[in-house]
Amino acid sequence: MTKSMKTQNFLTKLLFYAGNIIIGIIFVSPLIWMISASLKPEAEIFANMNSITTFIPVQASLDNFKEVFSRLNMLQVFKNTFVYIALILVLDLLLNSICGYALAKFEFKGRGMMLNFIVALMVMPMEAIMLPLYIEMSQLGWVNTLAALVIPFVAKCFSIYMFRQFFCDIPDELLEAAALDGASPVRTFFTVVMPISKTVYATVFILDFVAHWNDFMWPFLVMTGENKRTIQLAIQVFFGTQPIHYSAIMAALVVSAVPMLLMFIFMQKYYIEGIASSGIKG
Amino acid sequence: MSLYRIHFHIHMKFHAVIFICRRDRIAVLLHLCLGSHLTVDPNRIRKAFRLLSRRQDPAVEQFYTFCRLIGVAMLVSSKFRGVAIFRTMYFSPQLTSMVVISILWTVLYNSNPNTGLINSLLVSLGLEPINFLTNSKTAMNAIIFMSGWQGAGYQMMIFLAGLQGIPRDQYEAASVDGATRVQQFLYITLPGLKGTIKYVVMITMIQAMKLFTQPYVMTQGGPKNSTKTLVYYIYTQGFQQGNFGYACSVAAVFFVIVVIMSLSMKKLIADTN
Repeated sequence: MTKSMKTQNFLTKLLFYAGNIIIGIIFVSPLIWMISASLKPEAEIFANMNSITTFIPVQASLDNFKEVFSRLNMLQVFKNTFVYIALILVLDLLLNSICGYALAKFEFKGRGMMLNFIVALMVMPMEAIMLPLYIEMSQLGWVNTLAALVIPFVAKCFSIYMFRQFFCDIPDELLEAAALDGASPVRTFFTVVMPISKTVYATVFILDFVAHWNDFMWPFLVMTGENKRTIQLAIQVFFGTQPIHYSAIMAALVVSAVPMLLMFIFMQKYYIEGIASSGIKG
Repeated sequence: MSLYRIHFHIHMKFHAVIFICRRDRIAVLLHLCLGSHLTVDPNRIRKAFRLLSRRQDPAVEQFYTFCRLIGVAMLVSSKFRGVAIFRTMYFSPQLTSMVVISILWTVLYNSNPNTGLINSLLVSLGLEPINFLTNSKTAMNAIIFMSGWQGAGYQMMIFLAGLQGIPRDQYEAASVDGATRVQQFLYITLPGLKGTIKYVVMITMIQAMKLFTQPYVMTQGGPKNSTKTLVYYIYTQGFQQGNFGYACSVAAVFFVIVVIMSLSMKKLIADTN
């Protein structure tokens, strides 16, 4: 290797690391400030804003988290959120996968039309139908009940589509073999198809978990009762409730991010796969 | 007579809606939707840029993200040690929800340099503090920057998936023929990413059209309606003022816009592949 190539390589490396470190710091510094502020006493957060210690909790304590849990009734909030997400996810994975399987493997009249319909409905923005949907919910008397949060979101065109794409790749011979052994289509689905499709279930699970954990607008419209709030609603209300302690607010933000972080750590592969596949398919 | 009144009513509603949508935003959208799949016309691009730079609008967001993201994706796709760490760094804002981000940045954007981190940085650099969220000129830009910061990780992942779809042997062939890094980027990477770029631009624009949480949490549509988006307008009309019918017709127009954008996205991507 000649000397000029060596210097060029070194320069590329330097440029790569310098660029990435600068952009990286811009990206993570707000989050680091949030975590550090959540560990500091209220008086300390806005002291020394110009020095690096604003990002480092010197006297770390968990008092802010205690304040959050005592003022916000966190257990109730977590219970509300998890019950709602768990219900949606169970029904979502079960019904949408069955629907996707039917569209992938069964011949019936109007299958193509149904598929086109589902793909077309994928572009339907939630924001456009929120008003009619809200009126529907209030006429059914479902406002402030779990039904209003869960029922409208069980059937998801995107999930059906993902399941269908995956099930299309399952070889027909496998299903025929199961049928020859005397398994009914229902049994084939639950004992043969489901166990070999763990990846697509995991991908849909993580995408929908993230979407519903982060959802703010719909719970905000239908869940107005104080002890019915989901996590996003609770922290939004906490942000505006007197006395405003910024350290406690930051602690609440950190608490609400923990489940997402855990999900990401354990299911990173499927999450990334889901994002990437949604990008490739368009 | 009644027919005339109905006609008048629809007419007025239509105009009100178009006014709310902001004429320029639609023009920009049309430019971007129609302009990019025809041949490149410098005049059209210049015009679109002029419109974009004049208005502070969610549509601008995709330009910010696009310029930054292609750089970020290139930086993290190289075969260097520590790439995974940088990817995680860029993706980390994606792990928190929009409400969390909005509250955090409301605190960071605080106009008092003693309590707002960004303004304290500006003051220590010798600049004037900026009233990010209380000035109608900067409020929307502040929200756009924040949303771009949050969405960058997501877009990076899509770009990375797109980069992996470009065959490696194309680069090898090019370097054998003596193409420089820059030439490789211009003639292999960019054309290879065409579909991905179109997808990211369109999906970001559709997401920007749906902007609601950020204005609700950070500015309540103010100051001087500068952050009042279409969805926020539907919300205030329908839920706060009780004009359900009017809000529904705004929602219908919103729906039509999003459908047109989605369909043109599908067509654009189909053209590329």
